[in-house]
Amino acid sequence: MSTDAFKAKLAALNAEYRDALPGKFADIDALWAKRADAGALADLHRLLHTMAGSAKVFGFAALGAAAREVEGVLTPLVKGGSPPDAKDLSRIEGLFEVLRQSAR
Amino acid sequence: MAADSRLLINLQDVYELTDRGNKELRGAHTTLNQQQLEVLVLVDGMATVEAISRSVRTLKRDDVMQTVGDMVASGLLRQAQKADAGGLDFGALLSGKISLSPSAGALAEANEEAGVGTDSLQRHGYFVRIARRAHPARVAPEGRKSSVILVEDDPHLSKLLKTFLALEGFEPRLAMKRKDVLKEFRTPPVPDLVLLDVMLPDTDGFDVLAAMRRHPVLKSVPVIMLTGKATRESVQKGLAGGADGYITKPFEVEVLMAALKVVLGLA
Repeated sequence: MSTDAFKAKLAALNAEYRDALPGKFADIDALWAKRADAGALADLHRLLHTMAGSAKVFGFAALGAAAREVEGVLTPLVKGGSPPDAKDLSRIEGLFEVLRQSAR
Repeated sequence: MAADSRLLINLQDVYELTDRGNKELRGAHTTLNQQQLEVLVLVDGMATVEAISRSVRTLKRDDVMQTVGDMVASGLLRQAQKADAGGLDFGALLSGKISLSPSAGALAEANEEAGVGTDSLQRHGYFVRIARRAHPARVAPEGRKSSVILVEDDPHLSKLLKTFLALEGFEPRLAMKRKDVLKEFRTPPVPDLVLLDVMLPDTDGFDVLAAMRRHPVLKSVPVIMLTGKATRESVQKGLAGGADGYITKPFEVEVLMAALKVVLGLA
């Protein structure tokens, strides 16, 4: 594969990642709506962990950093097996907004 | 109570965490002191008292024995059964929870390398890069490319890495879930290297690593952990458990490829 062909491939992969973001946000919203369920909260935590690890690789550094921050807030909740309280809710929903803005 | 419990402890005995010990180690809060936590981290999966006492340089052996004895008495640790040798049946590879059981030497080396990784983390942000050079180099037999199993559940990342691996002359094989991992291990050739994520949908990369290191065929296959888990505890766990490299996400592809060649002894 030539360098140009490889760059084109990379650009295509970055675009593919960008196009998949609305679907990822929809998944985040759906899981967050079911946050009282420990399994849903664990799935949300894993989704954000994945996003935190991959976003920067595809050119979305701010999104990755924001995802890492939400992951950090969710980690003790998932480990402790407790649903988020009012304070957590406010903080996490604020971070979700930052997450969305970071993807633009 | 504490003095009596010490009498039960033998340096060669192997200990593992109980459910309560696991909760203390991984839960949001702990009631344990620093010394007890340090012992729990070192025992996690399994370790002999001798291995622990070599690794905890700040404590005398008697103090370690005392701490282990107290923790056994309080239900945080228990004596482990001797590990199975492992069979050639790949189907049984991930059938049960297998704990990592690092040797004293592996623990000491991992401690040192995790320290370097922590420095890297502080200097460069979310980034740890560790690669151990293979001696001798692992070269695929004439007529085939080096085979790399990529265990990664993010489809986008998986696709990107597949492209890079192929470009670098490797034969990439993808696995996203437990069943895919088993399928790839069953499919010849035995991989020349495994790139292993930790947080997977239905299994844990550290468990896969532990299972590989107990398997007669897979135990010598190099493994690079490629994960978002960048705490010192995680890095230490991976390296002490037998990983040959540890790279945190997000990563730079060129850095990963360089590490891969180092681990294979090709660089």
